[in-house]
Amino acid sequence: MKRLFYSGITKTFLAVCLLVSSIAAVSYGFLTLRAPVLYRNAESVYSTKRFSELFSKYVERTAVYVRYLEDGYSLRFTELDPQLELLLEGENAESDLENALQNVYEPSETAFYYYHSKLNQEPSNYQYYVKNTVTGKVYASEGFEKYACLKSGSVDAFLSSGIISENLYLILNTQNNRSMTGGGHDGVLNRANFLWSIDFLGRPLPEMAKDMYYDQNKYLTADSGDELKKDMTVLWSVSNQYVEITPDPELQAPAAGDGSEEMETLLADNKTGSPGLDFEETVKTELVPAPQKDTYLLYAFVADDLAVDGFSDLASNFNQAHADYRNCLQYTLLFTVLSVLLFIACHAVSGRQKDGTAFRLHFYDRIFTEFILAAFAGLLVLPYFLFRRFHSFFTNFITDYSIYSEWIPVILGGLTVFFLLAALLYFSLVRRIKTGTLLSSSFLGRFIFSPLRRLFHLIFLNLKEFLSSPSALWKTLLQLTVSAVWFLGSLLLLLTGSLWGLLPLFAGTGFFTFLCLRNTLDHMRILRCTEEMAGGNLSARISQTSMLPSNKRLSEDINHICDGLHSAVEEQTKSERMKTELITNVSHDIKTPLTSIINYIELIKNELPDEGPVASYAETLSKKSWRLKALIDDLVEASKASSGTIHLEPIRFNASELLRQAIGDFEERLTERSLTVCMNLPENPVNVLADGVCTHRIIENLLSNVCKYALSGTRVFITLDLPENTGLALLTIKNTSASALSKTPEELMMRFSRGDEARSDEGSGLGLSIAESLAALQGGTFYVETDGDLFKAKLTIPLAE
Amino acid sequence: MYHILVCDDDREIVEAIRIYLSGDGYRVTSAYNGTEALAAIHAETPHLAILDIMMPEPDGLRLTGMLREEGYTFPILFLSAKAEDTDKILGLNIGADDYITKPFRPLELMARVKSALRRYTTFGNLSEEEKAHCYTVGGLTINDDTKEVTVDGEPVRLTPTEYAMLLLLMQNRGRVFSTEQIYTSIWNEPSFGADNIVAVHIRHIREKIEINPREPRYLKVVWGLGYKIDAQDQSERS
Repeated sequence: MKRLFYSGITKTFLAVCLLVSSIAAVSYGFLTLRAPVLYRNAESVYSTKRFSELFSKYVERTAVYVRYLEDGYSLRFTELDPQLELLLEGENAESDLENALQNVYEPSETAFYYYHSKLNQEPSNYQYYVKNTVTGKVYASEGFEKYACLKSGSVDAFLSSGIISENLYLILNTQNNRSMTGGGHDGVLNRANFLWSIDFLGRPLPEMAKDMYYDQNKYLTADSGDELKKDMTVLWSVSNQYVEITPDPELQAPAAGDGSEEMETLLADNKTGSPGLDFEETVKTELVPAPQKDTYLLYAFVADDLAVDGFSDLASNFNQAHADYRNCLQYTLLFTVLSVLLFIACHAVSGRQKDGTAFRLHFYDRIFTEFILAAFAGLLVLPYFLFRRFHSFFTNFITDYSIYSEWIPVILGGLTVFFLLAALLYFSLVRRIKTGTLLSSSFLGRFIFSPLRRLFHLIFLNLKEFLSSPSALWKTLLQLTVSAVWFLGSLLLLLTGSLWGLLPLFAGTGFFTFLCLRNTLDHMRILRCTEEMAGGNLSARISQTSMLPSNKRLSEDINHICDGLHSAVEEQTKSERMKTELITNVSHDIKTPLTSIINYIELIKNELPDEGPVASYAETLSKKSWRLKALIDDLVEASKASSGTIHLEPIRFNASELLRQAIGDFEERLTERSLTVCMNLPENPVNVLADGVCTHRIIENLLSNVCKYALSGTRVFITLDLPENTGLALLTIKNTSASALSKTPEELMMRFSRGDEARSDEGSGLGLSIAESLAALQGGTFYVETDGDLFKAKLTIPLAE
Repeated sequence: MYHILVCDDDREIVEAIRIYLSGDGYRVTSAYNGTEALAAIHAETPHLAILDIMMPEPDGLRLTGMLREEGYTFPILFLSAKAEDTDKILGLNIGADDYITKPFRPLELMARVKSALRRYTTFGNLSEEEKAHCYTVGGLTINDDTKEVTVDGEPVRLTPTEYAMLLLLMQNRGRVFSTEQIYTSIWNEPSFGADNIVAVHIRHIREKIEINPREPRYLKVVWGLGYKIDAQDQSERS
C-alpha cells in the first residue's frame, strides 16, 4: 500500500491532477468573477452601469439634437467633416470631436449631422419621443410610432400605458454649468436623492476631484428599486439661461445679476403616478418656481429585439456572463476544494522514496535556494504586471464575450505553463524543507552560514576546554596581563620621549625569545625520549636539568609512567621465570618416582613370560611411563622457551646443512611411514645467524609432526627460500594431513593442542608452541597455514649477512 | 667380580639397580646418603660408583670432588633428575665419567656401567706399536691396520663406507667436517648438495658405536656445520 502510494506513477498522477484541477479552478473562477464586473448587482442588463452610461448618453444627445431641430437645422447634403466618418464607425471610438462636443449645444452643421446620424440609425434599439409642451411640437425617432402602435395601438395609448415608467432626470446648474443625470449619489430615484443632487451641483468642487466627479456622476441611472424594465422615461428640463433655445429672447432669465444661486428644475408628471415619486409637489414647495418658458417632455426607451447594435451586444454579453456566473460558481468551488486536497496530497508524497522513508532530491533541488526563491517570487508577481500592462485590453476582454472566446486557448496554455513552473519551484522548496537542506543548499548557507557556524563551534570548544581548567586560565590571564603591562609601560616611556623605554622593550623581547627557545628545546628532548620509550626502551628517562617548570612537571610524569611500566614488565618477567623454575623443580620431583616405576616395570617384565595378557599389560605400563617422561621434558622446554630462560649461542651456520642433517636423522621414520621428502634448497649455502641446537630442535619438532600426522605414501615438500629485502631465510614444510584439519592455525599453535585429539599416544601438543617460542627467541618467526588437508609450517631465520 | 657402590636417597631405586647389577654378576654395596657412601668407600674401595647428585650430605658433586681429592680413580657415574646441559657439564667437569638422567632404561645403565669398567680396567694397556695406526677417543678405538673398530674393547661391525667415514673423523679428532666435505672425500666426487646420504650413514654409525644414539658420547653433531669425533668430557658445547 505504502509502496503504491509513494510510487512514481502515483506521484505523476497526482501532479497531473493538481495541474488540471487548478487550471480548471482558475478558469471557472475567472468566468464567475467576470459577471459581477459586468452587472454590479444588477439582475438584468438594463440596470447595469454600462447600460446606464450608454442610455444616458443617448438621452443627452437627444436633448441636444432636439435643440438643433428647434433652431431650424435640417438635414442637407453638405460636405462632411472627415473626422465624422471615423466617429460614426463605432460607439466606443473616442475622438476629439466627441470630446469637443460634450453634448453641448454649439451651432454647427457637422455637429447636427453627427447627432442626427447617431440618433436616427435604422434600425436602432433606442427610441425617443420629445414633445414641446409649449408649442406642442413633437420629435420622435423613426421607428417609434410603429413600435408604439405595435405595442399599444396608438402613440398616446403607448405613452400612457405605463410601460414607460422609470424616471430619469437631467439637472443643470446654470451658474457653474455642472449637470447631473439619473440617480444622484446612490443611484436610486427618490426625493432624498433628488434633493442631494441639487445640493451637490451647487457645492463648490474641489479642484483635484473635478474630473473624477464628472466622470462618476455624469451618467447615473435611475433605479426605482422595482423590477427593472427595459423602458425608461426621461424628464428633461433646462433653464433658459443656459440653453438659450427659447425663441423669445425676453424670456431669458436675468438671474446672474443678483448673484444668488438659481436652480431651476422642472419635473414633469410621470403620468402613471408612480408611488413615492411625487416630486412635482415637493419640489415646487421648496424651490422657487421657474418662470414660464419652453418645456419639453421627453420619452426614451430601448426596445429589445429590434436590431443588432451596441445595446444588443451589451445585452448578449450580460446574459452570457450571467449564465457563466450561475453555471460556473459550483465548478469553481468544486475545483478549488479539489485543488487544495491535491495540493496537500502532493505535499505528502513530494520527495519521498518508494518505501516512503527516505527522501530523494532531483538535480534542480541542488540549485541554490536563492535562485529558486527569486524565480518563484517572480512567477507570483508576474500576473500583476501582466494585468497592469494589458489593463485596457483586459477591461474589454472581460466585457466582450467574443474576444474572450478567441483567447481561451492562449489563456489555458499560459495557465498551464504558469502552474507547471510554479509547482516545480514550489515543490523543490518543499523537498528542501523536508530533507532539511533548505539552508544548506542556499548560497548564503553554504558559503556564509555553515563556515561561520563551524568557526563558532571551534572557538566555543576551545574556550570551553580552556574554561574547564581554571589554573590554566588564571595562568594565561596572568601571563597576558604581565606582558601587556610590560609592553604598555615600555611604550609609555618611549612616548614620553625617553629612549630608556627601549631597554625594557628589548629586555622583554629577549626574555620572551629565551623562553620560546627553551620551551622548544625541552619539547624536543621530551619527544626524543618518549619516542625511545615507545620503541620499547623502558629504561630511558628524560633528563630534567634546566627545564622550564611546566615541562619539568610533564617529564616527571612521563618518567613516572615509564617507571611503572618498567616495574610491571620486570614483575612479569620475574613471575615467568618463577613459573619456569617451579615447573623445572616439580619435574625433578616427578622424575625420581618415575625412575622407580620404570625400573620395577622392567623387573616385572623380566619375571614374566614373553607372551600372555600380563606381559602385554606390563608392556603398556612401560610405554606410558616413558611417554610421561617425554611429556615432562616437553613441558619444561616449553616453559623455558616461552619465558626466555634458555641460553642461546647464535653462530653463523648453513641452514641447508642443518636441514640435511636433520632429515638424515629422520630417514628411517619417514621411510617407515612411506613418506617421500622433496627437498628444494638453494645451490649456495644459506648462512644464517642462529643457535644451531635450538634451530635443530624446531626442525626436529616439525619433522616429528610430519612423521606423526602426514598421510602415508604422500610427499613432503621442504623448501628453503630467500625472500628479498627481508633479511630472513624462509623454511617451508608442506605435507598432506592424514586426518581432516578441523582446527584453525591459531588453535593448532596453542599449547596442548594436537592435530588429532583421538591419537593420544603420541606427542604432547607442545611441539608447535615450543617451535614458535624458540623461533621468536632467535629473532625469527614461526607460523602454520592450512589449506584443506595441506599443512604448511613456515619458519624464518635471520640471515647472517 | 667387580664391586660397585650404588648411592641414592631413594631406596627403591638403589634396590632396583642392585637387582640388575646383581643379575649381571656384580657385587653391590648400597648407600643412602653421602656420608654412608663415603664410609663404604673408605671401608672398601669399589671398582665403580653410581651416585645420585641430589642426596643428603654431602651431595653427589661434593662427594665426587672429595673422592678425587683423596686420589680415588675409579669411574663415577652420576645419576640425576637434572637433565639440563649445564648440570651435565658441571658433573663431568668435576670428575665424573658419565652422566645418566633419570628416568633411565636399566639396560642402558648396565651398558654404561660395563663400558666404564672396561675402559677403567683396559685403558692404557695397548703397546706402542699397536698404537701406530690406532686412533682412540675415550673407549672408541679404530685400528687401521686390522680395520677393526672396538668400543670399550667390544668389536663393532661397520660397512666399508661407515668405516671410511669414522676413520676420517677419527684421524682428525675435534675437527668438524661438513656433509659435503665428507661426501667428497669418501666418494671422490662433488656432492651437488641436496643429499642427506651422509647424515643417514652417520646415524647408522652412531647406532653401532653409541650406547644411546640420541646422546652420543663420541660421534657428535654440530648442527648446521657438520660432524666431529670428540670425547664426552670435552663438553658438547665447547
